[in-house]
Amino acid sequence: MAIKLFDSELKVMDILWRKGDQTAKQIADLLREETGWNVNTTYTVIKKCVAKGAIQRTEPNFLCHPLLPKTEVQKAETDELIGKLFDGSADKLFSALLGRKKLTAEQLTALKEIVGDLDEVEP
Amino acid sequence: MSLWEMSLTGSVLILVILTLRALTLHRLPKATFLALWGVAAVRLLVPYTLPSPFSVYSLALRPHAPAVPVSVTENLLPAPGTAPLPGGTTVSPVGPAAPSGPDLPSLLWLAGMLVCGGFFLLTYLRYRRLFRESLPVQREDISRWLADHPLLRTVSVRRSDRVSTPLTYGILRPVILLPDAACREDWNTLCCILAHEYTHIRLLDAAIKPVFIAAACVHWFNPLVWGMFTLVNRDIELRCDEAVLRLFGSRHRSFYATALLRMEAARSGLLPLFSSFSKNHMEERIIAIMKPKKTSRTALLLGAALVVSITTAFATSGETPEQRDMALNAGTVFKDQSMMSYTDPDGVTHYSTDGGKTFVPMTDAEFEAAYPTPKVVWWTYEDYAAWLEEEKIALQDMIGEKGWTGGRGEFIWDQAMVDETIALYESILEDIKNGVLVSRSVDGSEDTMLAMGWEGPLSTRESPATAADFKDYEPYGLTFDETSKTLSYNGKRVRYFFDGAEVEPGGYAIRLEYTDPEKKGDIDLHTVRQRVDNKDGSYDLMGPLTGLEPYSQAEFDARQFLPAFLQAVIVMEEDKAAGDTVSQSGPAVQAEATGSAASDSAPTGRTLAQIFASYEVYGLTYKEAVTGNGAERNLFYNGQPVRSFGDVSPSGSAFSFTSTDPEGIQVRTVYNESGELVGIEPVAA
Repeated sequence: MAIKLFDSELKVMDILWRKGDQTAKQIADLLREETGWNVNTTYTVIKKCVAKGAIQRTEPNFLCHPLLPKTEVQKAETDELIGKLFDGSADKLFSALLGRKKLTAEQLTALKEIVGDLDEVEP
Repeated sequence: MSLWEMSLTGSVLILVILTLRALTLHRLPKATFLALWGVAAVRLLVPYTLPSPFSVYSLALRPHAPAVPVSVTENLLPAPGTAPLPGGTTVSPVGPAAPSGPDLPSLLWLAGMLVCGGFFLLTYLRYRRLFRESLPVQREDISRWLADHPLLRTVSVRRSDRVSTPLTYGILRPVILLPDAACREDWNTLCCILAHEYTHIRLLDAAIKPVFIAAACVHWFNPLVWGMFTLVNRDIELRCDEAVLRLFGSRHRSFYATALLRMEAARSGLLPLFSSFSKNHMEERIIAIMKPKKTSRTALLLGAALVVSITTAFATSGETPEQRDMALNAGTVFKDQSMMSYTDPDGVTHYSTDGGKTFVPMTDAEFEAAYPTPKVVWWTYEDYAAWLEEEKIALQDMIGEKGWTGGRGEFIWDQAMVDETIALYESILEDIKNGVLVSRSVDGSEDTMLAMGWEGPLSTRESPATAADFKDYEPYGLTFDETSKTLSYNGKRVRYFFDGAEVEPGGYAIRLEYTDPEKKGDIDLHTVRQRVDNKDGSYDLMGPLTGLEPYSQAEFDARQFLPAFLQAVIVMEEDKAAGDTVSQSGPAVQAEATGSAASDSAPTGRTLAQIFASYEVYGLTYKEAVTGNGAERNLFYNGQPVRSFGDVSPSGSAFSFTSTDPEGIQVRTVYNESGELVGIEPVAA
């Protein structure tokens, strides 16, 4: 994924993923409750997202529409996690996970498919 | 106090603290050093100072004697535009060292300060935006910890993916900001982190830092101040560590130290520049944490005592002398530096302050209102002699010390200067003995000096001209014939000879002025002298003699032989004062009620002796003697005592004089139809 989103931006995206398209004002109100941000801060973050191409702005009322699906972001985050904590090796992540549980053969195949998917996605 | 002075004394203080810190860092409570740095910051930022006899600067400087004219080339009244004094007058530029206005160094400093300030401000603003976008941390364990450690202010904990180490910001609503990595730490480490940041908040470190940032910006040119800045940041951390261990128990110290190291390792590093600093710094911190320390009462007391003594010794100023010499060059006593006046036939005196272009009539009351007489206390011979003896001793002690005058600026006393000064004082004592009035205080202040009756080297004229008077001019072709009592220049008879310079419009410094006794001659002559620039900014118009020159025919024809004092009378306030003072102490001279502008002795250097010299041809002689009561001044006409003399010229001016001796005849001047003075005659009583 070409777009790298910071935590603050992900927070905004999260609102949109959960609640669908919202106006900037609505997002600001919600975030004031959740994070204590003032309106200016929220607007700044939203504008950053728009600049990065993660949000589409349509004009009556500054309506915001997410351009990135959540799953894509999840994949990106997982990649990053693997990179940071498991030296970029998905195998090591699995070893850690597997170390905790026993998996059935079907679960293993399913996992391998997912890993295959992950490998195909360009970081 | 100037910026340089603040920076300099601040630097001294910084060095002292640096040394102390190097020696005792781990033996004293860290708050000691912060207190000392605080004193340094105050010294750097606050331009006022408390003088203290215990200051090191008191040892370095000594108080001056009052009104010390240090430079021998400066006369007693060197103010620009003051009446010129005979022989060696100087014209000084106005005023003492001017404060720095919009000049290059100030602009450079301002630019530097703005750059530094700008850098800090921009960094602060960038981080502020990041902090705003931080997310709250909702964790029960953390909330519980906060509840267990309450403060007057509300503390919140937030997290951000944009910071690499835990930090705290905000003074009124403090926030502990944790990086994502910290949030993942085990609880004990997290406790250490929270404790550390919490202590920063408690100790108000966020309010302390801006003070030192300000000091560094203002004194950006001073590397010691930057050194202080670095150390202050370290000492803030050290004090925080110390406080954490004190609050939370020092048994966890090794764990705390480890946690610290881990946090530091996570730091991505601001700039490579700082990495060596932080290594040093970390070492300092670990040692400070691990050293088994009992902060005993002794250490606490010692720390407090050190702060107090260093502050007193280095942060106060010496009891420095006022820069009294300023007044000598500033010439603030006199509103108008020169004035001309004459009395018309109706007895009204007209005054001109523009060199004779326009005259304004003023009554005595109006004059007094416009130019009030200063109250002067004059030195007596005995008092001055006594003062001089003491001064000689004091001056010897000043060798090697700093001195300051408005004309010369700062300098160091040496034997030559002391000798010069003593010689000047001795000559003043001699003058006082000869009747010159020298002020001890003017309007209660010793900052200004006035002199009355000042006589220059060639001013006393009790006998007619002799060849000796002209020997300096002989190489240039001037000869005085004793038998015929005439002055010649290259064979021509000289009617008028003038050796002087116009130091200001209407004001002359005169070394010698000669008029042919019969006012006969073919040429009028004057000297040509070199102008000499003194190093202190003043210049001398009566430099070495370079030649003699005749006046032009037009000047020759236009010359009016008025009594000397009317040609260019420079009246200053002390003349008025002299009129009053002298009359109070038993007058030898009185100004007539017509408001004559003549005075005891005009500061042009024309004494009464000189004035009366022009009447000598008509049989008038003037004798002056100094007795215990002051001066006795008497006139004689053809040997007979004269009790009063009056000169009313056809141009309307009047001059009168009364002898000390009340016995005698009255005489007055006689003018012909052309308005020329032709003689003196007794007045029928």
